[in-house]
Amino acid sequence: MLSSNQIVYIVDDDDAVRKSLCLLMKSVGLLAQGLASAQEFLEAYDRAQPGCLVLDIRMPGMSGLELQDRLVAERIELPIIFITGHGDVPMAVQALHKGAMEFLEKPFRDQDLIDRVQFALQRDAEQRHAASLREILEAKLVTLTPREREVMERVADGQANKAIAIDLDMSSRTVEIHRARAMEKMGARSLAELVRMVVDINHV
Amino acid sequence: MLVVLRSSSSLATGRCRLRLGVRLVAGVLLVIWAMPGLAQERIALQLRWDHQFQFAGYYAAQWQGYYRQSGLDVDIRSAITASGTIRSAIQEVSEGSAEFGIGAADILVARHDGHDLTVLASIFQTSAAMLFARPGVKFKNPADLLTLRVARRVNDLIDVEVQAMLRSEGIDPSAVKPFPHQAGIEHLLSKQVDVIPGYSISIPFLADRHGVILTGLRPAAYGVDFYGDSLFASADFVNSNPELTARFVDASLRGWEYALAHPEEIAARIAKTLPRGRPLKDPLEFNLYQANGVKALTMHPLIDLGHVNPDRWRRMHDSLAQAGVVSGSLDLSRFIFDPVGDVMRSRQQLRQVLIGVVAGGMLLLFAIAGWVWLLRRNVLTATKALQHNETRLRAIVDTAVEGIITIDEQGTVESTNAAAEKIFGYASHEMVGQSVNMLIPSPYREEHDGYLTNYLETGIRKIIGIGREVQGLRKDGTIFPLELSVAEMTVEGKRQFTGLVRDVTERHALQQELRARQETLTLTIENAPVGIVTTTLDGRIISANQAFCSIVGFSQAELEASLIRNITYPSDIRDGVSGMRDLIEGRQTSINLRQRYIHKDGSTIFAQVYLALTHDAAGSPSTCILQAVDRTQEINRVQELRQHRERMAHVDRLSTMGEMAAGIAHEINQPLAAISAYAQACQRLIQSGRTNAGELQDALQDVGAQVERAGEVIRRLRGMVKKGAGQRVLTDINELVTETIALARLDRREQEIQIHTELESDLPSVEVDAIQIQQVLLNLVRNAMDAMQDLPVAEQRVTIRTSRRGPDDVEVAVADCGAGLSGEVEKNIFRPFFTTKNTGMGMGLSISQSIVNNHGGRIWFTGNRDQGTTFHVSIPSGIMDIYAVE
Repeated sequence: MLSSNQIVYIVDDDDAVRKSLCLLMKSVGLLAQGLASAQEFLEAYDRAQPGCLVLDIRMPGMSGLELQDRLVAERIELPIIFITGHGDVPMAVQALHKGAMEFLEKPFRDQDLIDRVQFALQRDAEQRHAASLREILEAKLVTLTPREREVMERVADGQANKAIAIDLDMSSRTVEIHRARAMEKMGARSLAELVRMVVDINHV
Repeated sequence: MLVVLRSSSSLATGRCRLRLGVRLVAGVLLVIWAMPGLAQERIALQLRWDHQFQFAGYYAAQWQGYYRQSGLDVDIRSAITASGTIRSAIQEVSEGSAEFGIGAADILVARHDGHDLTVLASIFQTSAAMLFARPGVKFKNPADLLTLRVARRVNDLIDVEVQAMLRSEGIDPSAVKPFPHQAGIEHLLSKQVDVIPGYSISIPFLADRHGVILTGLRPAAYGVDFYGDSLFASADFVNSNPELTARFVDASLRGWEYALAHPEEIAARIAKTLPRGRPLKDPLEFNLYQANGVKALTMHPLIDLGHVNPDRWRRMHDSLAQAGVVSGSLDLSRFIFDPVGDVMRSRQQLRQVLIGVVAGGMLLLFAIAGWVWLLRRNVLTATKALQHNETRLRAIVDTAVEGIITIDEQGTVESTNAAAEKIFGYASHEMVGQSVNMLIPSPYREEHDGYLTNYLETGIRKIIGIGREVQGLRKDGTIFPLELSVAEMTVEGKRQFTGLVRDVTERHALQQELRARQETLTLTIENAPVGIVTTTLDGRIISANQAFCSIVGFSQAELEASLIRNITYPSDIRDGVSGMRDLIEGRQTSINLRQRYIHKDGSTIFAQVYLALTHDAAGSPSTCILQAVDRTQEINRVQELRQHRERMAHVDRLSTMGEMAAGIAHEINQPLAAISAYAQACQRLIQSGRTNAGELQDALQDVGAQVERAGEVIRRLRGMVKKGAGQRVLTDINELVTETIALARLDRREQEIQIHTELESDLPSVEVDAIQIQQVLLNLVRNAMDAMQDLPVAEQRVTIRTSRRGPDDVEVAVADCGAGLSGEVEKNIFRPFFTTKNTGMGMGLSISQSIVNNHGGRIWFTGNRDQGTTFHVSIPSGIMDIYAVE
């Protein structure tokens, strides 16, 4: 699921930490971009850009936690790995509550960070993939008539054609025709696929 | 008494006889040879000073024609020559340039020097010699001379009297330092000296001219009875010319009688007509002033003019001998003009003449009858005079200050005088007829009989002619010190003893007071809170008082063998030396400076030092008085205060450490994180082969820089926690605990936690770095407070106990009443960075443990029986080490 255009953003005011982490990312074949402050990140980041964020909690100016708040507010769902110094544990806990993916206390084992970055990137990719799927489904969904949509949802619910016909006060034949149209419109090659699409729509 | 009476009366009688004889001889000569054609004999009288009222009698004899009437042409010569030099009467008379001279004690001195001189008449019955002090100088009795600057010409005429006075007061004359004496009183008024010698008939007048009234002391008031101006001649001259001598003396005495009766007239004439070698501004006033003094000195009319008491001359001789001015014994028969013998000789000659005349013819019978009649009348007159003199001398004896008692061989009192009555408190009739033992207290009473018997049997003198101090018994039973001299004589074949008694209670009291004063001074110095040291000018310690000894820790014996610089802080010696130089060279009279001394135990003593000098007789510096006030404690207190402030700053650092701990950890973790990341990155890059040497080199360079950075942080951290090089000193652990509590309270001012102490007294001192141990204790107290945070403040209570643990160790226990420690906490409590606190670094107990271990001690904890935990710290006491070092 990882794509080559993902970028690991490393936001830390400490030059050495930032540079070393960028090199570490590079060493495992990841693209990394180092940014010295939250502001710099906000200016540089395009929400379409997939990747993840390695963020120092304690920074001058806007802190890591504040940046997290900002991203949540702007519905930017970039996965965040917090890195903390000693004694910032309560802050890290707070960050996790707010939906951060991970936190690592410095000094950390590099493999731990790499693992977490990989995981975050995967998550980001999945999220982005899920998000694009839903967009497609929703685009297809719009083409369905209300009847077709009703029928499709009941089918996905596992109702038999006869039961649907009785519920919707139509003939079984009519149910079948709606089902076939919906499947066609949605591009489902099997009943099972259609069912999954409906589940996706309802859950994603 | 009889001795005195007899000797005096015989003299007085002698004087009477002399005059009688002289007149008699003159009368007979008048009768026999008639007067016309009697040639005037030229003689010279050498005065002892310039023309002034002092010699009034001789001028009067001249002016009234007494000399002329006696067939004498007298040249009265001033001692001041035309050239201004001073002629010595002694010398003039000895050399025969003058027949007669005026002298005093110097006659005795001259005699000792081989000039055979004879005293003819003593005009001044008492010496004019005195000591004069400037106003404001305390000069009440001879003992004061010991502390004053006294101008003296040692052994001159006045000085020997002063010496006699000092001896009579029991003072060694050499104890009075001689300061240089000059003529006049300028050196007294300019305060070069406090006391000068001089004559009562001139010095007060000079002082009066300066508008100053001097206080004076007469040796005569202390029993020194020197004669003043006396008429003398060479013995040879007197022996060859007894008759002329008698005439001259008689005329002179008549002159004196006239002068004393008409002082204004004579004074005025002296002032007006007699040229002075040393001119005066107001000669009349001066002579009038002297007239008063001179009259007093002659004691006229109480004592016959010219009266000579050989005993007094002998006493003068004794005084001079004691001063070492003369030696040997005085032959009174040759020294004193003995007119009795002369008269007797005259009578013998007269008788022969008369026999010749009777045998020669009856014509002279009438003359003889007349002479017999004259003789009878004169004898009667003489007898009357004798009786008169007896009465007068009785009066003198009775007015004498000294008690006079005569006893017989059995010790029975025969007579007493008024002074004796006063001294012993008995009326004369109560003593006369009684044994003298009634006046002598036991055990001397019993001894006295023995003395008397012993003397009568063996002739060995114990007291006769010697004089000594004994004890007397008053009627009221009091015993008092008295000075007794005894003379022996034989009256009508009976031996008698005369005791001269002087009550010396007062003198004793004075001496006692002097001693007491000296003792007070000694005690004051010895017990003064200030260190007092006397040193020589080059700094050798002469004496040191107790306070100084305890300041520097050395004994008096150790100090008195040493130089002050030996105990002075080396860099302070120069200040002391330059201070001394300023004093010696007179730039300063006292110096105030700071000096450090080295205590015997090696510690430094800070002292405020005052230096001053004492001066010797010549006015040059002799010793240095050093006073030292120990300010060590004061200075140490200031230093302690400074240290306390530093300690507080340190505590501040410690208490902010909690806050800073996170920051510090962050700072260390940053480079560590970077290093770690670089290392991993490099490893991976190398493995993947997707790198180049340049990239790796950059990375490794960064690693090096980050290691450096981490090290720097550690260094800074250590620098902050560490406070100075640990100095271990002997410390009272209880004091440390008390200070710690104060610090803990400062630290948590808002909390009213009860801190209870149970401190064992008499704990051995511990040799510790007090700051470090205090840090440990403070940490424990804070932990204890933190452990009780959940309790209501009223229930929070920390107890600190100190106690002895085993023979050598001291233990401090800090107990809280918190919840106690869980098993996991117990296991890890001394581990670095283990903490149960939100803001702690977890270093407190870990650091404490290493501090205590470094001190050779131990730190541990126990659970309390009721609730909470107690932390214990034991530290070995420093006692063994300290003594081992010593």
